[in-house]
Amino acid sequence: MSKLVVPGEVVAKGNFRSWSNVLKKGEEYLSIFVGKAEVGGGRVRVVRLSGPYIPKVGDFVIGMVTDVQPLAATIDINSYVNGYIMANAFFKRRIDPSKFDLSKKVNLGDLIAAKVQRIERGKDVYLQPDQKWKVEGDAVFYISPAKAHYIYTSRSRIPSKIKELTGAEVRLGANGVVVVKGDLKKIEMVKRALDVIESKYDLNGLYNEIIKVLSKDGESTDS
Amino acid sequence: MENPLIVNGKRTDGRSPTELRPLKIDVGIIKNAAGSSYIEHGKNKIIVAIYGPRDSHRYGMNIERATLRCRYHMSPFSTEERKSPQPSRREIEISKVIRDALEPSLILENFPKTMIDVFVEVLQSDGGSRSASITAASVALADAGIPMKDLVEAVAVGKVDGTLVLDLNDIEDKEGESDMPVAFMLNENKVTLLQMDGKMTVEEFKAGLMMAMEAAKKIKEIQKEALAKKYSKGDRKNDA
Repeated sequence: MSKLVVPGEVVAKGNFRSWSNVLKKGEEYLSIFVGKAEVGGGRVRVVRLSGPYIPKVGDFVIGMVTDVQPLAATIDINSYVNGYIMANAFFKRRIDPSKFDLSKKVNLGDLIAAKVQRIERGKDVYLQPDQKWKVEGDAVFYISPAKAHYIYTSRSRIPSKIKELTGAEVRLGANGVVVVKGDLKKIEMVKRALDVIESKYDLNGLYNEIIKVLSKDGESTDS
Repeated sequence: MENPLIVNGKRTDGRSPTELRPLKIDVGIIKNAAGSSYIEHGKNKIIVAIYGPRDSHRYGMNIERATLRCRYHMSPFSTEERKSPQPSRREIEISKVIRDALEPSLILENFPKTMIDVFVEVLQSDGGSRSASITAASVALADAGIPMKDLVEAVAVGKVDGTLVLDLNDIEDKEGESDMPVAFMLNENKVTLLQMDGKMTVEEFKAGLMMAMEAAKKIKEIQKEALAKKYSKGDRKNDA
């Protein structure tokens, strides 16, 4: 059972192998966020319930191209920092700048799926485009980055269940960007599921709640 | 003494010398802000909104951590006589004081070269507005998901008619012998703000500090309850 904690509150005492979103002070672990404390299995962590998207290496994110230069594109990753994709990241090899123009590959406004490859100086986020890097969708939604990151890192079944129950093609970025492809009915169903995620601070029982809402949707459209 | 401020151990508003004014905090009242809070501390009514962290390329930005900016502003209708909306010397000073009181509690290194804005808007003032602003701003920063070592709570103590009193109201602030706002990070056992107008003896100062610390413990509980009220109900439908 997770407990709600506020900054400065003691989450656990003792020795733990790993910890995140807490401050270790002697034997005490103090929360640095408002969140749900999870203690067990030699680890202590606080799941944030609010705040901006904080990029982490390995995160899968979806962003929008905001600037294209010959050798690099700037991506808005719904965070306080921008992401950058270098031209050679698309080809995984060195390229000749005199013969190459990145604007032939990506354009302003394109949605791009990528992994956070490295973060330099805590601010410059370099991305590696995904195999299916070009994201095409009929609707783009934004959900709380803190929750999206939790769903993403906890390997929740929520995204696959939404896909299964709505029949839409859904791509969820750890940064809270959700791209949906499908007809209007499917998009509306996904929106309803995302509203459930947004409306709940309590992350427990979210999976069942989404099934309940989407099942109701299915019944009402059938009748 | 023409008009005593303490009569039979009771102050002008009926409180005992060690009693806090009624305190209420609401969290998440402004939808567009990253975090926000509303505080009613006695007759003080204050809104705090947090924007950021956001990317900043301004000259002089700290490349190692986020820069905290604070704007304390009193609305023209917050006082008995209309207050000019232009920032006064006092408002500029209090903006700085609030920033300095909050900064030690924040882990700003997580957001290099960014900016975090704290907007404090006083809708109604009744003495002790800087303390109430610090208390509310700390809650709003927690609501915005800015990493913090601890919440900050502030309260004033002072001397009125030769008696040490807690949480001075407007008339006590103006007519009293001294006023000492103090802000605490209780878990860290730190004082992040201490100012004093007027005079106190060393003994009075020590007693006053202890009195403020006890009050800060109560304020911290109210801050925690306010955050818990928003985040534990599990449903955001009632949010603004």
